[in-house]
Amino acid sequence: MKGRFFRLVVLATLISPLKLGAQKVVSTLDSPLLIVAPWKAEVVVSGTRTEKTTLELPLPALVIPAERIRQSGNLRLGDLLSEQSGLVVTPGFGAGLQIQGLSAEYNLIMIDGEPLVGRTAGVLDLNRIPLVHLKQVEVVKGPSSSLYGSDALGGVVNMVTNLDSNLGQHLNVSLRGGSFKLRDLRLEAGLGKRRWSWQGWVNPYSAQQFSLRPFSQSPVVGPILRLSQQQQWSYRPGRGHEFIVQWRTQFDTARNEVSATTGSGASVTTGREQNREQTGRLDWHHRIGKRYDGRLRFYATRFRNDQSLGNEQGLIYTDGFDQRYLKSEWQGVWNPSTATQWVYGAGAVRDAVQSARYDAVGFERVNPFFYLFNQLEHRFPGRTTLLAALRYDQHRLYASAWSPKLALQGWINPQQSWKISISRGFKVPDFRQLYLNFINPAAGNYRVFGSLRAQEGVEALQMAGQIAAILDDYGRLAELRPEYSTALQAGTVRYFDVAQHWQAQWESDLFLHRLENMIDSRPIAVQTDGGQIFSYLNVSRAMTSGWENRLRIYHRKISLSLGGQYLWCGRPDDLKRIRSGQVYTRAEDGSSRLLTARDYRGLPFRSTWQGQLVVTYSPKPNDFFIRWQSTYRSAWITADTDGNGLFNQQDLSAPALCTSRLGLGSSWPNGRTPTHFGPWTWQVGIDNLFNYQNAFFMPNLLPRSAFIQLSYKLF
Amino acid sequence: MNSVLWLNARFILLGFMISLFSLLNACKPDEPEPPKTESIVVRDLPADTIIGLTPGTPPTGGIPFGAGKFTFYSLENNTVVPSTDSASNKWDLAFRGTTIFTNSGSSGPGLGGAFVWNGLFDELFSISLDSTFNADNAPNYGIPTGSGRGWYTYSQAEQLVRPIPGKVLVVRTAMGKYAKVEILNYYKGGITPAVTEPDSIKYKLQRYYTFRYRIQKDGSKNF
Repeated sequence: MKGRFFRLVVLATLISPLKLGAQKVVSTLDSPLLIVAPWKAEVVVSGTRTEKTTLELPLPALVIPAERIRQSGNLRLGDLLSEQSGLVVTPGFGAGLQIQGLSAEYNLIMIDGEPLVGRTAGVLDLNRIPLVHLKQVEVVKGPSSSLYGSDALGGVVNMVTNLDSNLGQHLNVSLRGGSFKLRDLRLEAGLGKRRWSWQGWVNPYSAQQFSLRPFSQSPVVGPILRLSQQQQWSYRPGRGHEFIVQWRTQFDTARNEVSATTGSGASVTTGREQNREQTGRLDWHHRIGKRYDGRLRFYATRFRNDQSLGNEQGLIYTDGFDQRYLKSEWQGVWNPSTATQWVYGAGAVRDAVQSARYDAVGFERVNPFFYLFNQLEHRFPGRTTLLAALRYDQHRLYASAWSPKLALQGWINPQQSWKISISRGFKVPDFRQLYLNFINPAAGNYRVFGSLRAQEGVEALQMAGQIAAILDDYGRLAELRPEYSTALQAGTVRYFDVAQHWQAQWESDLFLHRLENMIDSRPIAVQTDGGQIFSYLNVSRAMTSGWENRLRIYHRKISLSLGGQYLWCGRPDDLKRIRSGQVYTRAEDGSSRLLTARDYRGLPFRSTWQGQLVVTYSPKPNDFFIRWQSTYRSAWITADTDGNGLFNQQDLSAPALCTSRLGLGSSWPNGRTPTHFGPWTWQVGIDNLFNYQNAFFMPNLLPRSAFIQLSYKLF
Repeated sequence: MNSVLWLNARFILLGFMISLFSLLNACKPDEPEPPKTESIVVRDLPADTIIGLTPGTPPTGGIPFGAGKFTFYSLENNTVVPSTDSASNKWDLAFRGTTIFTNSGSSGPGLGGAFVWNGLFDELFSISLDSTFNADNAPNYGIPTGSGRGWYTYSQAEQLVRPIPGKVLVVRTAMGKYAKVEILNYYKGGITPAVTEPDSIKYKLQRYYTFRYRIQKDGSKNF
């Protein structure tokens, strides 16, 4: 009975009026296509390290193909991700990514499956990364440590470079100009023969930085210049072998001028910041027989950040950070049968950091580790797929970590599939959490010591007679252990025929994360001048849970995507304290009162509701499109202002945020066929259409701004 | 049938509880007495208000400062005590910025002392007999200084000081009497400025205490 069902399904695909085009369905398992009607499914590699469609993958995933990136009009990764369902981009130390309620430090950002390094306070600035020459951006939600190791707790973002050798010889030039002196040039080129090919691009970008500050005399605080380039060579010497060399550089420099009016008149503070990033990769792909696929890879990346702050009197402070990450990895894929696939591999990493905040110049802190991973995927005759994975990481500095994952995916009927998974993710402590030696003279002389430094630091101050009191948490200082999360995810995808030529697809995912061993900074001692001393401890536990829904309705010319996420986060210990009547807040009249569980808001910077709407109209001729996008985020708590140690509705919260953008574009002149367009492409857009501004909570949000972009395809 | 039984059981239980409650009430020796002490609210007590900013810009300059003078207060007489009487038993609490001294130890000649009690002001009926009053002993004070340690938190991002809810300062006065104090606000007019106010406004309005207290003048520890 079921077999007939699926044959019908395949037939439905063949006769469907809507061609899947770029969003085609591929299965590595050579099984009959599990397709009914024109499902929208994209191929994703980050979920399993092999190509899978979003329908087959037993995990919630999001794929943004190149075409959608182009139509969105976004130039940088942060801007693109802030518009996606279930993702929130938070300000502070650059654009950080929040997935399923887990903040930036718990999410892994990769390019072609390799991690980017260089985080500030745990945040990897997403706007460092330009969106050039990509095949797609993939987001897999939930822990993926079983494949990628540390940092993959909330999810992974993988930017997949366009490696299509069919591109062959090409040369594209694209120029954009916009408000706030935005200039962006993209030059993409490629050469290719049967055995070898080269692809490269260069992207200079400059703009005025924007920052609304209560003190500042002008919202424009200085220029930022970003220069990125990438070169890629591939060589195919013979059957089943391919070598790829990739070299990428990123250079950012920014000047930040804050003119402030103080008691003694106006004065200017100038901050300078420079990022230098170099990445190299060497891959050897080899296929032996029909059943084995292997890849040997060497990856090296270096990220340097230099900052300085000065005024008329001279330099106030300088800061330097230098991270080098070296990795070698071998990965094999073996298909013993059409129903079974085994992915396995091993690797070794040397992660090293030099920082002016830890040590004297030239002193390097190193964390070497090695790992083994395994993933078995099996499709049972009843069309249910089982995914079982396990990774082992052995660190020199921390306890070793086991990361298991178990996932199931199946079909209720050809119109609806289900998936469920349980997985574990981990994050090793940051170098700063171990080695930081920081004093802030500007803010009450507070000090922060890394956990390995705290004891000697406090003892030295004690000898000097500068310690007024030792606090309880000093006695709790211990070797830091990795942070863990266990996640349970369940979801379903359903296809509908709404009307003739109108189809809809609804995706629904539930998630629950339980974080343990979380590292928090805690005061451990007080100095005689009142300044507090902080260090890091594995102290807290937290939960995040939510429900995400995504509805896509599509027609030949119109597509509509509506997404929404409900999120609840909190710490079980907080609730326990509230219930036992130990937590107070301030009542309207200024007196104190007991806090109730109803007042509790969980974790800061989390919005309970998040959603977006995208409507695209594109009548195929000329590749013309017009696109509307709105993003909504409900209010979020930013700080514990009533001082009770947890986040409740009486605390400071940022108001709900809603931004919209409009874009349109087309090619010129008309092509001879519907898929062949003229060499010119133009695109215009207006961002932040309703000019939403908030000086205090979103100081860097650009007011209404516009751009125009012109591209020319030489060949 | 079962549900009827259950309903009945609930009513019986409820009735039993009501009668027990009234019985207990009846057995009480006397009605809850009105408080023996008077609740006094002090508004806008200046405490070394800002008189200028250091030259330069943050982080090295532009830091607000006051004249460095304490405001001395007598809880017993509910008045400000002139600073010429700082070396006497006439004052009970001294305020300078976020620092509050008691008339004890390194701060004054009195019998003062204090500790921070966690709970609601109105629910502190009597000070337990085994509690210890800490005399000031610089750099440690009966009312601990520093954000999150004593009575307030300071948020660097917002540049605001707020009293922590559920903190009662239990004070022994210079003459050895007992008082309970709750700091209600640190800004003029008893209203914390909005975070979006410029720093100049926050500086101008800060260091004005609003607090309430009850003092037991008979020397006992009951309020």
